[in-house]
Amino acid sequence: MLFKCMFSGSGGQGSALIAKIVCKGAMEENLRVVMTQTYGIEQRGGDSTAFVILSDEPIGSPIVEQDANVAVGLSQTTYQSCFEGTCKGGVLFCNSSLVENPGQEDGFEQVKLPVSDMAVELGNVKGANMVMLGAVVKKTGMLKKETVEHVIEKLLGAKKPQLVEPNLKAFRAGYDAV
Amino acid sequence: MAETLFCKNTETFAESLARCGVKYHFAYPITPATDVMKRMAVILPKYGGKMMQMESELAVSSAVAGAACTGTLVATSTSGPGFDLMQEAIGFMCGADLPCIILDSMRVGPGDGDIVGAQSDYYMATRGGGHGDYRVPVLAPCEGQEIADLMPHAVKLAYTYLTPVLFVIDGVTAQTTETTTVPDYHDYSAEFDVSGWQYTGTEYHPKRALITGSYAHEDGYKMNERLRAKYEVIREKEQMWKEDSIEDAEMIVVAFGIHGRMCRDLVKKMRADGKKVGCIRPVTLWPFPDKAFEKLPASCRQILVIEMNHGQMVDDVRLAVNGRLPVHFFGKTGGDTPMYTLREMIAETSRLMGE
Repeated sequence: MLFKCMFSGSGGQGSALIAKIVCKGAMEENLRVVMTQTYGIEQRGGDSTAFVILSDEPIGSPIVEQDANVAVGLSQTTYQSCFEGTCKGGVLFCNSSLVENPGQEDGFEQVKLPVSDMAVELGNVKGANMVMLGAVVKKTGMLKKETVEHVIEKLLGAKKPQLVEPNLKAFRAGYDAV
Repeated sequence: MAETLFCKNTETFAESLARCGVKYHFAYPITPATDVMKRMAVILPKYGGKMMQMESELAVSSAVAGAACTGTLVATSTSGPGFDLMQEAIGFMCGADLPCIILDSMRVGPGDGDIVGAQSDYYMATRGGGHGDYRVPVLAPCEGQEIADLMPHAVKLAYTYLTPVLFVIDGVTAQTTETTTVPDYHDYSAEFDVSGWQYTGTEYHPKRALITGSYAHEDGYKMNERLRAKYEVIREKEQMWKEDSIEDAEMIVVAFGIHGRMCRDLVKKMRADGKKVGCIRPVTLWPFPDKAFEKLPASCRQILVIEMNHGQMVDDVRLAVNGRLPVHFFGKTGGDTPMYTLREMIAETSRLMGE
């Protein structure tokens, strides 16, 4: 089993957080994990991409080089590199609330989900990343649902326990939407 | 107890050092090595040690030399521009037979260069670094787990041969975050008797210890002959490398660090396409694993060396192959992607194989 993922969004959308949750979840499931991040001026508004590789075997190349089988584009500006970075047979997740004119996929699958709108309906647009994470986990089966819920509880509960419930709700909404 | 961590490989380096008995860590901040000193500052007190930031790299290496004189396991971490500045004290330590552990997290040079990862310090690392006829054992792990696995060996090398031991890790590997299992705490330096040479202060000390890197006339000759003999033993006994599918290989790719790691995928993918490719990954850069090239399979027609520089290790491969086979080179340095991608590595290997 080998998942090569890229999680992209504008700074502040939380693409790095969902990447971190995937990493922690993979550790709980005793998988090997490698994460690399792009360098840049990643303050709010700048683009940010986290690359994560999960495997049950020792990982060779730690670099995701336009061969992601799971690509997540949370914003308009990062969508194109996700589109180009998805390999044949992979799945591209598009935040259709923000991405205008998504490309026509060829050789891979595209899941278009209005995660920002769904998060607003749930009470806070900041939950869009968690909605997307739910969809990714359900669609790809890369991790167990319970594992991710446990990581969300542990990771967010440590500092801000009031954030656990809304994030779990967003995660489950995304999980049920695909 | 042994623990699986998910952290940057620079932090894994710090955890591995601390768990192998390093008591003092001196450093000066520099990308991409600063995370080592930051982590050491937090964790070393737990093991009864301390991290101290000095005012410059020369001060760092001098402090390392001073602490090493007491027989205590000491370490430092830096990157190319800082490693340049440390050479004076490292040369002294080699002449004075003092152990320590050094990390050079390699970035693009020359000069200040760029902060992105590179493998351009190969020459400096494997040719001693400063003036004089000395060498330093150089270890080149390709991933977090290998950093943790090599650290006890590094400490043993340092104390067996009384020499600085250098880790070189390209900045990309250094900045990669991954799962690594680090071992229980064990002070490997405590397994060695240092009472014959260590400084302990004057109290209760019957003899006057002398540690020096300064020799005159016949003494200088003797010191160098002593070093020569030491390096011959290291060359003979301490070469390390990993092989992958070379038994029937027509093409052998040679790479260290991150490119060596990427060759796992290169070999797997090209073998799946029916191309007989193998890989030799040097783990020690000095001593260079000449022995890996002594008995190449008869099937091997050519060798390709891939590096994140403009061709440094390729010289040692050519010396080891000694004209028996053509040795090609493929490498680049600098830029947003400061290395050839797996796809480019496979394309170049295929091109050379005439396909």
